[in-house]
Amino acid sequence: MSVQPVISVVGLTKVYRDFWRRARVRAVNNLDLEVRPGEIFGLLGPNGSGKSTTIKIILGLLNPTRGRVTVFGRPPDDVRVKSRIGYLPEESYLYRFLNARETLDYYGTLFQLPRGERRRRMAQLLDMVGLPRHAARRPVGEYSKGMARRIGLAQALINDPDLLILDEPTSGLDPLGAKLVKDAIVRIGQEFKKTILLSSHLLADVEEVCHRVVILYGGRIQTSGTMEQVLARNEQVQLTGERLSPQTINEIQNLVRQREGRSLTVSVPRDRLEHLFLRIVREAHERQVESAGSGVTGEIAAFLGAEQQGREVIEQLVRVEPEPAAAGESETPAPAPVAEAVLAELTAAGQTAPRPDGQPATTEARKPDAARVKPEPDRSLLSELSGEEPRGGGSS
Amino acid sequence: MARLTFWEGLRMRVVLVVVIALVFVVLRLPFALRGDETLAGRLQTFLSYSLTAVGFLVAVASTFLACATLANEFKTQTLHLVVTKPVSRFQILIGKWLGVNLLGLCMLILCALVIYGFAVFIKNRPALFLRDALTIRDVIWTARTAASPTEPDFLTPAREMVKEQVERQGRFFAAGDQAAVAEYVQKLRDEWLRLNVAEAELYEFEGLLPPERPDTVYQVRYRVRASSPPLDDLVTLDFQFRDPDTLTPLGPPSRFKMPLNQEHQFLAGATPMLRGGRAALLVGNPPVQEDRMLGFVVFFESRDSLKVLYRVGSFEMNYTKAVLFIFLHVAFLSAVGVFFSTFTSFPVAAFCTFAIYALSAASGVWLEAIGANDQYLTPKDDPYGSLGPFIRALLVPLIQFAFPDLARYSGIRNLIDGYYIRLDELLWAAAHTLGYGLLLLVLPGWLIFRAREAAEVQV
Repeated sequence: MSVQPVISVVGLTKVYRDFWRRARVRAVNNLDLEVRPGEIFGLLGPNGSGKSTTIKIILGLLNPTRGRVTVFGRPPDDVRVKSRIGYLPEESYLYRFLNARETLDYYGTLFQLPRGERRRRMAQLLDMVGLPRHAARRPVGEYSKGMARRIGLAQALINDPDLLILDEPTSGLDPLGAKLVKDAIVRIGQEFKKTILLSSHLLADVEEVCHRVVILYGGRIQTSGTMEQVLARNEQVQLTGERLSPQTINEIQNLVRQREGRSLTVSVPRDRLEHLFLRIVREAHERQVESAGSGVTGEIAAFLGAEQQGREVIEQLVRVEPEPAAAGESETPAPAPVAEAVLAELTAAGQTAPRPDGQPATTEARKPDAARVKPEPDRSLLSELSGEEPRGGGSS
Repeated sequence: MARLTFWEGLRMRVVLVVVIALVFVVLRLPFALRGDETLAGRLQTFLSYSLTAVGFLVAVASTFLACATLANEFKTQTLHLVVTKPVSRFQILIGKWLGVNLLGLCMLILCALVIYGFAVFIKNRPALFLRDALTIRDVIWTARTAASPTEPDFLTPAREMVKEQVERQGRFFAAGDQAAVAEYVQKLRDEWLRLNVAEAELYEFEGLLPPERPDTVYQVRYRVRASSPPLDDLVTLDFQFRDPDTLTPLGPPSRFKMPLNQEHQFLAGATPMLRGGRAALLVGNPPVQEDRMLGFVVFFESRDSLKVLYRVGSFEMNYTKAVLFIFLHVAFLSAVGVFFSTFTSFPVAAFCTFAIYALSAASGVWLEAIGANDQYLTPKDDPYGSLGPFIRALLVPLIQFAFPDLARYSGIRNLIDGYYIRLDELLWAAAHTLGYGLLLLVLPGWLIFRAREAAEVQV
C-alpha cells in the first residue's frame, strides 16, 4: 500500500487576471508535485518563478485557475485540514499593535488551545526562537524584520503542526537566525517526523536541509528529485583530506596524468563566510558583549511532537545527567539504561494520552523520536556558539 | 476575532479622537446650554444635544472601524495568517462585526453613564419655581403614555336610527343597511369630536394609572382645527375636570387661547382628577371668543387629538431604551461597513457606508418627496406624472427596506418628552436594522468574502 501524500498537486495552473478578468500573468503552469509524509521538500526558483503562488494555493489563500490540490487528502480550504498546518509567510504578516505574547496567544486561541497549554507553548517557543523577555512585551510593529520573522516561526509552530509550510524561511534573518531556522527545520523534520515544505531562492539553505527539491522557472518544473540525484556531478571527483606536502601533491598529479591522461586542479578550500561569522559571534558572546537584539538558546520547544509525560521524563533525565562539554563535536550515544527508561515511560504514556490531532498515539511512531531527543540537544546553535553544554548557558 | 477587533479599535487613533470628542461634548454642554432659561428646558436641551451628538460620533467611529478592519487585513496581509488557521471565513466575518459592536457598545455605555450623571446633576439644581420642578419630575424624568377619550357606543344608536328609518319611514338604503349604519356611526363620531359655538362636550378617559404622589401632575395635550378659522388662528377653549360619575366640577375651569393646528399642553393635578382610574374632561367652546364678537366652530381631528399623559414607567428604563436605539444605528452601520469592506478598500467602503447612513437618516424625507405619504395623487401633482403609481410600487418598498428610517428609529424625542418608549417599537427597529444588517453580512457579504482570494493579486 502506498503512503498517502501529505500534499498532492496535479496539473496546477494559476493565471493572474486584471480588473477586467483579462489574463495577464501565468504564474504557475501545469505543475505536478507530491510531498510525502516526513520529508523536507524544497521549492526552488528565482524570484517570480511561482514558488509563493504554489504555496498560497496549497494553503487556500489563492484559488487555482486549473488543477487539483489536496492537503491530507482534503481540499485546501477545509477548516479541519488547517489545524494540522503551520505556516510562515514570506513577509511577517503580524498585527503590528499586538506584542509577541499577545500574537502567539491570539493564534493559539484560533487553534482553540486551552489557556494553560497556550502559556506553556508560548514560553517554550519564545525561548526557542530566542526572543528575550523584555522584547516580548513590545508591539510587533516595533520589531526588526528578523525579530518579526522569529515570531512568525513561533506562531507557525504553536499548534504542533504535522505539516509545516515555510515561505522563504531565512529571508531577512541574520546568519544566527538563519542558522537557528535551518537547525530547527532539520530537527523538527528529522526528529519529530514532521512534513516540511519550504521555498527559497537561497540555495545554500535548501542544500543543507532538504531531502527532495523541485526547481521552478516560469511556473514550470525544470528539475526535481532527491538532493543526491539533483546535485550529483558524475563527471567530477573531489578528494578531501588533511593538509598535504607539495611533494605528495606533485606525485598525485603525476599519477593521475599517467593513469587517466588528465590534469588535476589543486586548491586550498576556503572557510565559508557563515562559519566565520558564527565564530566571531561566538567569541563576542564569550566576551559577553551586550546586544539589544535577539539571542538564541538552541532549544526546540518541547511540546513539538512529544507527549507531555514523556517529555518531562526526558527533561528530568537530561537534568540529572548533564552532557559532557565536548559533546558538540561528536555523536555521543545515550547511555543504554537511560534510553530504556525513556522508552518504558513513553510506552506507558503513549497508550493513554491521545495526540493533539485526535489520533491515538502509537508507541512505534515515537520511539525513534524519543530515543534521539536525549543525545542531540548538543548539536544546537548555542553549543556551537559557546562550546558549553546546551542547558548550562541561557540567552540574555 | 471579536476580541482582536476590539483591541484594534482601541488602538486606532480615530477611536481615541472620538472618545476625546465625546468627553468634550459631554463636559461642555451641561454648562453651556441654557435652553429657555427654565431648568426643564435646560435638561431637555442637554439630553437632546448630547445624545444626538454621541450617537452620531459613535456611529461615525464604528463605521470607520468596521470599514477599516477587514479591508486593512487584506491590505496588510495579516489575513493570510488568520485564513490559514482553523477558523472559517464566516467566523472571521461575524467576529469582525461583533468586535466593532462591542467597542461601539462600550463607548456608548461610557458616554451614556456620563450623560446620565450630568442629567441628574441638572435635574437636582434648585428650580426657580414650582411648575419647573413639577415639569422636571412629572414630565421629563418619567416615562408616560397617553390616554385618549373613550369613544361612546355609537353603534347602537346608529343601528336604531337605521332600523327606525327602514321600519317606520320605509326608507331604503341603496348601499345596504350595514353601510348606512357605518355612515351614521361616522356622523355621530364627527358630532362628538366637534364643538359648536357655545357648546361643551364631556370626554371620558379610562385606564389611567393612579399617581405616585399626592402632588403628581398629569399633562393634557390637545390640538384643534376650525372649519372657518379666524384670521389670527387663535382660538380660546375652556377645560374643566369633572367627577366621571356625578359630573360635579373638580375645580375652576382653565381657559387657554392658543393657535389652531398645533399641539398645546397644560398640567393638571392627578389626585383630584382621578376616580378609580377614570377621569372626565369637559371641553367648552365659548359663545363669544375673547376680544371678538363671534364664536368659531372647532373640532378635534380624531380622538387622538386630545389626550391625558400619565406615568407608566421610569426615566431610567426609557433612557436605556433610547441608548439601545442608538446602539441599533451603530450595529446597522457596522454591518454595512464590514459588508462593503469584504470587497472594497477602506476609503470606498467608508464612503459607501456613509452614503447609506445619510440616505437612511433621510429616508422619511425621501419617501415624502416621491409622494409615498399622499394617498390621493392625481397625475397632475404627482412628481412622476402618470408613471407615479408604478414607480412608487417599486421604489417605496425598496427604500423602506433598504434604508431603515433611522430618524424614526430613535428614542431621543420620546425620551426628552418623557414619553414611554414602547418595547415593540424597539423590537421592530432591532428586527429591521439588525436583521437587514446581518442579512447583508451573511448572504452577499459572506459569499463574496468566501470566494475572494485572501492573497488576491491585482495585476
